[in-house]
Amino acid sequence: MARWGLVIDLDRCTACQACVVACKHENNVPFSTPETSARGRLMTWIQLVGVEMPGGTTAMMPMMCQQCDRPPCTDVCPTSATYLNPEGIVAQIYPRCIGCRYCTNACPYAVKLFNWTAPEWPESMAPMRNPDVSIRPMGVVEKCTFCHHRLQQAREEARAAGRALAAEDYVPACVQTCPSDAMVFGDLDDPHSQVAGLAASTRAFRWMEDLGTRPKVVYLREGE
Amino acid sequence: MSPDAPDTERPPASPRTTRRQWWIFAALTPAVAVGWLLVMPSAPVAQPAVFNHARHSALACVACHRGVESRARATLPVVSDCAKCHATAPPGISEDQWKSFSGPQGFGWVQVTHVPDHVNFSHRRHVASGRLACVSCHADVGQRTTPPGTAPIRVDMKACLSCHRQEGITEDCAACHR
Ligand code: HEC
Ligand code: HEC
Ligand code: HEC
Ligand code: HEC
Ligand code: HEC
Repeated sequence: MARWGLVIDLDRCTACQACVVACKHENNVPFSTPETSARGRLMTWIQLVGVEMPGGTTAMMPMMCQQCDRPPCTDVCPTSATYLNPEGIVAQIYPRCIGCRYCTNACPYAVKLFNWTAPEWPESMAPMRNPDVSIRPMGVVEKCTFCHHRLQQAREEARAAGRALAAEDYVPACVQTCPSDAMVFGDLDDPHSQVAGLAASTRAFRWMEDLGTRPKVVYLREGE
Repeated sequence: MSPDAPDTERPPASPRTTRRQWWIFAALTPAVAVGWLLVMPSAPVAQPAVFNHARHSALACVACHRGVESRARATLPVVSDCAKCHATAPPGISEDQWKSFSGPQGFGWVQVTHVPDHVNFSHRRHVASGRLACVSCHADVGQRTTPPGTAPIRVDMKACLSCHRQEGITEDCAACHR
């Protein structure tokens, strides 16, 4: 079984935010206003975070759920609404979620987001809704799923074509959109995959890896 | 609280009030129960027109449910699916009605089998890849002479899981929930 991972090359990333927009569209993530953002209620599954690097430079890191192999958020969930699935994706089962927000507090990356209000879109955007992703109601926690619905679809396509799923069949929206090819996605357990190779490079690091969360989002350090 | 007003003292119970409350309660309970049975949980739906599946048994299901082998949704038919055999209104449907069905609103058939929005269900996966017969989830709908008022089988999580367990298919929550 695959163990899905994402490598982000900070040398290639131009902080253009195309991934942020792609993610919002793909996953029916509603807009936030500056006011809600100021109250700490920004709703976005991926955002660019300025991070001070060793040497004093600031890097803009695309930050989404780090899909930890040892996720602190699942340990505290009282209903098992969030758990690590067999393919390494930290899933969030919305109908099971009671909105207690233990997980949002346990997450050191602050990438689990609570729905303070029911989502709203301008009426003209109604036809743009992605039917493959449900709309989360008020009162549940949501997060990046590595576009899990795309994996489900890729699996169905492969099954219909009578062949096995290939890693290339499954690409999250942010990775597909990235204009500078800074993002690479694939199976970390396949030693011949590009992600596995990059994740083992000397430039690779995981965000806050000293916490022991073992993220499956791997960053590649700038300039070397 | 003053010491000469002991806190054990209560106003005397009014027998009139309690009796009236009892009557209201006694009258309300059957009313609610009957109302519940009539309205909830499965009031039969009214379809916009008569339809007889048994009369159309010569046709493949996919002729009218066009998505059933190729997409997630089976879909319900539109007038152009019938036009090959019914150039004019079929027996039981008036010409005026037929004309309005041909308009942009279509038939307006009411779907009776549902899963909630947060569930990932695909007909293609089950019918084309899984080779499951329609009867396993829809019972006799394909052979009925009248539209079913309610779903003959409630395809709920228990039904999905019991078949998946039996067939050795995934029971991972994230496979079915999105
Ligand atoms: C594994 C169970 C299962 C099988 C097998 C199955 N269905 Fe369904 N069907 C469902 C479920 C669940 C729904 C509700 C889907 C929804 O709400 O999106 C449904 C809905 C429908 C609908 C309503 C309209 C729509 O767009 O979905 C039709 C028509 C239908 N099925 C026809 C068929 C036919 C024809 C077959 C056989 C070729 C079939 N189904 C096989 C489970 C099944
Ligand atoms: C392949 C040809 C064919 C197609 C396509 C077809 N029908 Fe029919 N239909 C028939 C035949 C044959 C009869 C029987 C006629 C009779 O008994 O006089 C019939 C009878 C009917 C009747 C009368 C039923 C009864 O109890 O007498 C209705 C209503 C009807 N069809 C509706 C439809 C609708 C709605 C569609 C499209 C969704 C449709 N049909 C598509 C062939 C077809
Ligand atoms: C001639 C067109 C036609 C054909 C062929 C046809 N259907 Fe239907 N089907 C309809 C129409 C119209 C409806 C909606 C009215 C009703 O429920 O009877 C419907 C509804 C259904 C529903 C109910 C979906 C729901 O809302 O739960 C099921 C299930 C279904 N059909 C299964 C089948 C199966 C199985 C076959 C093949 C054996 C089949 N149909 C063939 C026209 C057709
Ligand atoms: C009668 C048996 C049966 C029922 C009922 C059933 N399934 Fe399935 N399901 C299967 C089979 C068989 C497969 C494998 C299909 C294949 O071979 O590709 C499957 C596959 C799936 C898959 C893909 C699994 C994967 O590994 O990616 C999903 C998702 C799914 N079903 C969801 C549902 C949901 C949701 C329901 C209830 C609404 C449901 N199923 C009800 C038999 C069933
Ligand atoms: C094979 C498909 C399937 C799997 C696997 C599955 N579910 Fe479900 N689940 C459904 C379907 C279909 C429904 C909607 C029908 C119903 O309410 O039973 C549902 C409904 C629910 C609901 C109730 C929602 C409500 O509004 O009442 C919860 C909670 C839930 N699922 C949680 C889970 C959890 C947690 C897991 C993993 C342990 C899981 N599900 C695994 C198919 C599945």
